[in-house]
Amino acid sequence: MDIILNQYYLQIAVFVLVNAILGVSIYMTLSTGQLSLGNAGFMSIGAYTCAILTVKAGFPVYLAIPIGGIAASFISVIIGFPALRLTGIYLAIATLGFGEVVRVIVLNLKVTNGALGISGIPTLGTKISKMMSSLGLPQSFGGLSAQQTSTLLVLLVLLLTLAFLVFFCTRLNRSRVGRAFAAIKADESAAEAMGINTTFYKLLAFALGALIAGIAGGLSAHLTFFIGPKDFAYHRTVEILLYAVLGGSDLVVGPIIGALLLTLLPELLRSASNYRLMIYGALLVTMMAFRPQGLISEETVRYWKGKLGRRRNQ
Amino acid sequence: MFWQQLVNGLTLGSTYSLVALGYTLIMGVLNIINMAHGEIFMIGAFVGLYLVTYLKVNIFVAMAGAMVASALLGCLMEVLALRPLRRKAVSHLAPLISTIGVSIFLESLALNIFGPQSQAFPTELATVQMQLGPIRITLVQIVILGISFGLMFVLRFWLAKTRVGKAIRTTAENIETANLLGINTNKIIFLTVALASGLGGIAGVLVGLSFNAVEPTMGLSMGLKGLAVLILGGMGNITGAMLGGLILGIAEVFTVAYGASSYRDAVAFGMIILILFIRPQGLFGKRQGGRF
Amino acid sequence: MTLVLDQVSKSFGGLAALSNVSFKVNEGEIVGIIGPNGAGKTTLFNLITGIFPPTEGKITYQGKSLLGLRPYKVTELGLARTFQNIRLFGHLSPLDNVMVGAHCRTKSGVWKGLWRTPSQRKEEKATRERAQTLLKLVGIEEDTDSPASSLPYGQQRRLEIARALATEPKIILLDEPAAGMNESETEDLRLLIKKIQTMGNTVILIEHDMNLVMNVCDRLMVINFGQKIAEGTPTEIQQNPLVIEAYLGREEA
Repeated sequence: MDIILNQYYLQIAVFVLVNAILGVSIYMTLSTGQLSLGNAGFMSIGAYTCAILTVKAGFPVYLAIPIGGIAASFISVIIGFPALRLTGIYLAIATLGFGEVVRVIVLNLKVTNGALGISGIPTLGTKISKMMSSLGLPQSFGGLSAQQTSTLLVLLVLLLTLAFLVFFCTRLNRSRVGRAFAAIKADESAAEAMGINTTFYKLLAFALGALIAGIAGGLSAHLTFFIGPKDFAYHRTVEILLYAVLGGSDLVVGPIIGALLLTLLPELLRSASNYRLMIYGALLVTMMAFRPQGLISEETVRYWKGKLGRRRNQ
Repeated sequence: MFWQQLVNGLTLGSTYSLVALGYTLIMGVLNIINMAHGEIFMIGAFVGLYLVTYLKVNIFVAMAGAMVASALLGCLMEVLALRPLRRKAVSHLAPLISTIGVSIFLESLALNIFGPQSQAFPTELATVQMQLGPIRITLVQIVILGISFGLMFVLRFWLAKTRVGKAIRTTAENIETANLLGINTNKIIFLTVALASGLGGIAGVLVGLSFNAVEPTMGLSMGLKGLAVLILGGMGNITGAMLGGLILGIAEVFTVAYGASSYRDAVAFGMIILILFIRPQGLFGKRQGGRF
Repeated sequence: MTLVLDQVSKSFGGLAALSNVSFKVNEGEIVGIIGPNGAGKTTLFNLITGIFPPTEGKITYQGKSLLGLRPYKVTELGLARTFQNIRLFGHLSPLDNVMVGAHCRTKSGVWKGLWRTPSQRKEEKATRERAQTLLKLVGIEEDTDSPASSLPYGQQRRLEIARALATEPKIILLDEPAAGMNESETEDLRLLIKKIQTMGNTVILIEHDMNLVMNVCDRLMVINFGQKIAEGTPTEIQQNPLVIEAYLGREEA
């Protein structure tokens, strides 16, 4: 038991889940065929808002994280609205610029502490432990150490969040809004001709993506003691993009699988860490050239469903 | 003070124009944004730097060398990352994502080869200056202004008057028509990518000289500024790219001069958002499909 | 219930695609727009549905100007269309394609869709049933999960019509619906168009298949080089010397 549940593996699992949530954030925007290159920026808005609220204003964590998400979402609407009236390339450029500007602003504002970042952020782990003891529950279960228990509980919180997001996306896909998203992704002009207000729905998907990225930011701020401008650089956005490119952006499980693979990979390839970004770049080019739909696509699902004979294909 | 800043702004802006022209040319014939253009610019800067520092050539030879190296790099990118995508029917995001991959690859490559620290050109070049009335202008600035404006005028002339230039414009207008007219569009695309990348490479040396700093991350920030100029001037519009670059350069210099120096890099972004709000087609773009 | 085009012109750069076209479509009519290739017919559809604005002229529907409205608003007002080169949502199922059409007549948002409230489920059921009815109407076997792009060509064209009908239009604009169809398919199409008329819709039809056009249309408008050269009943048009001249050497269908 101890081998599997040692702190190192548990930490990796935590990162996998946070990255999976980030993957869902870019999936959301991609589901209308739009590319957002600013998700690290939204993540940082969520993280900083949340950290400032908990560290400097004493807000409880469970309030600060959603507020961080909402802040990110609010700002996304401001930059999304002018860009989404136009074709997809404009959103890509605008969000690219946005990501950089957030970095510059964060470096310069007093409240974010500039390059020094914010430290002393109470981790989720300690918060949960405190909550447990105030409820009279034991801080460690079944022979596990207190640290292991709190990390496991953190994992549980993250897992529940991810599960809710998957539920959300799946429900949405089978509903009127999801159909509108899919139509816009397939053919934006035709979708508009069929009575869909494409600007509104593109903005909706974008704002939801920003919300999710902001929440992921808030969560990750509380997983480490410290956040700084370097954590949310453009490279982070490209990594998140790679989750979706590698795993596939047709279905919500795609970026989750992508996040899983790409979080585990650097751990396995410790020695090649200098070349990590080169590998990512090469991976992006290769995927686009050979399998642009990603590892998991609608076709993949259809194929396996057919094989398992669960549906009759005419 | 004003005139000094204006000269500074024009100098800076002319380099932005060169970079923006690179984006514009590729946008014209391939209808995509080459997100790796900033990194090609950066590699050009390093090539120029190393030619001057280690092979001890003069700065103009170094610029030529940088131009050639960047052009070759651009062609390589076209063959490996862009051409394969044109054979299949892919979404409009695919070339964008592919060039993002190229840009990350190149930046990391540069970091591994050249190291993260900022490197400078040998000092003799940077210090010569002269006084023209109220304006102090350095030799470097004169070189930059001369080469940038020179290149822009040559490019304009070349595109308008020569046979190859016209072939490029026809391909940009409508690639099927160009094919029907007997133009070897594959060759034209190669040529345009090489030209665009070469311009980026020279701009790299010029900017590296001007700030006397060359480092692997300069591609990202310059790339973004080039994109801002693209939007400001109108996508795919050559005049727009040229004038837009100058405007951005002047705006940045005045932002620094009048107080908000740490927000200098945010000017480009602010410009993007402003233009998208009030005049999305840019200063010179047309409502439907801006071409040259 | 009339659609009125008043001196409508459209230029692209220096090129005049349409010049001074004036025309009226009355409620319940099947109106055909015919003319040689490149005459400007699809441009007319694009102007009506709001894809781009006219350079000059006015377009009104039931007295209300359509100018400056975004395409989705035009569809909301009751004008739906199909496309000359089929633009289905290829990887969605046929049923989903048609259900998308119902978007502007339904209203469940994110919250309702997430929790599947009773009103949302009722709306989904109604949308699904209506889509199934429309699929039957145009003669497509429903309930295939395969993507719409895997349907045979003729069925894809009919699917586009079903999708347009799902928007509950008053006027439906069909852009060359018979292109690539054989004789029996065209006959089925003719019956479908008549059926759409009896359902209370007005139909505007761009077509090259003269047989179909002469048989199904109540009135015709002929466009050549961007200008209206004739207007009238099929019989009148067939005898119009200008029309015959425009079509000299062109025998379709």
